[in-house]
Parts: sequence; C-alpha cells; structure tokens
Amino acid sequence: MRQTAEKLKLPHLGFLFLAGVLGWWIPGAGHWVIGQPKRAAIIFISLTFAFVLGIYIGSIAVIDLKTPWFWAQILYSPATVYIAHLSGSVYHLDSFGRPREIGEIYTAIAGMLNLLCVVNAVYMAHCINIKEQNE
Amino acid sequence: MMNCCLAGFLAPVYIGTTPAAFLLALPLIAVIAVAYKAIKLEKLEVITFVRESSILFGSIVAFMVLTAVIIYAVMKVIVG
Repeated sequence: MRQTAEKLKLPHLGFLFLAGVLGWWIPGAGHWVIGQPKRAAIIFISLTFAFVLGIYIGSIAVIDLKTPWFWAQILYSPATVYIAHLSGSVYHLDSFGRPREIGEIYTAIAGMLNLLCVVNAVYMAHCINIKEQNE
Repeated sequence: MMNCCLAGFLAPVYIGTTPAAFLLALPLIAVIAVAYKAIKLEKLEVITFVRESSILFGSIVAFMVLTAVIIYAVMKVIVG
C-alpha cells in the first residue's frame, strides 16, 4: 500500500513531515507509509528488540529524564517519556553499575538508529514525490 | 495489569565481571548491522540482505577484537 503526497492529498512538505513523525512514533512506520513494508518490519523488529533488551537488562530505571542519555533514548519513540514517568514518578526505581550502563547503551543506540531510519524515510518520501512529479 | 506486564522490567539483571559479559555486545552489533543494511540496500532480497548484514556484523566484531588486541598489547608494553 504505497502512499504518496498526491494520494493522501497532502503538500510535498506535509508528506515528508508525516513520514518523519510516523517513523518517530512507531519505528518503521515511516517506511511503511511510503510503501516499504519489508524495511518497516525489519526496522521495527530490530530496534524494538534492542530497546526492550536494554530495559530488560537495566530495568526501566535506565530511562531517566535527568540524564543526557534520555535525549538519545527519546528518539526511539515518544512512549519513552511515559516509561520515564513510570520509572521515576510511579515506581521510584533506580539502577546502578554495569546493568544500567549496558541498558542505557542499548536503549540510546536504538533511539539513534531510529533517527537514522526517520531521516532515510523522509529522504525516500522526497524521492517518491519528485519521481511522481516528473511522471 | 501494568505490574504483570512490567514484572520483568522493574529490576536489573545480574551481570558479573567476567569475560562472558562482553558477549552482550553481540546482539547490539547484530541490530546495528541489520538496521543499517535495511535502509542502505536499494533492493531488499533475503539472500543479499542476510549476506550483507552478516558481512557487516563480522567486520564490526573483527575490528572490535582487533582494537582490543592492540589496546591489550599497548598496555602490556607500557604497564608490563
């Protein structure tokens, strides 16, 4: 189901924005909306695996609003803010040492990889629009 | 319900200070290789994708091992 700016009746920039925001909210959704379901599935499964493994190793306390790691972790999805709220304000959790470090690295790298995927989804959406305009 | 879903995620797992702890890098390297190749390859075909991802995974592991060996050798020379 390939969507384009014309099919969705969106301006060029609006379509790019949609691909970018969807890709941020759900990893891989940006690729799915531009008609790349295989890429979307691979991105979703691999990044979610890394993120979930990270919070399994270090507990949800690795998502901490007060650390600089949070700015990389939030790139995975806005749901990260809710996890930070749960760990900080609801369960009052904390973790230390090696599990925390490994959990932070896993979740932050999942976030930064998602940024790479979002940029790629926006670029592919741009290429699709240009191709359609030329046709 | 929330407690049940989060049960495994509320306490960190135990990771000992052993050489085996380095194996925790492998899933992350695999994820990096797979995600990178998923956006890099122009056409996604199973065989090409698996081959390219495996090559990238192997090269990252090889260079990390090489770096570790070099650092170990340098430390041996300097510290003894």
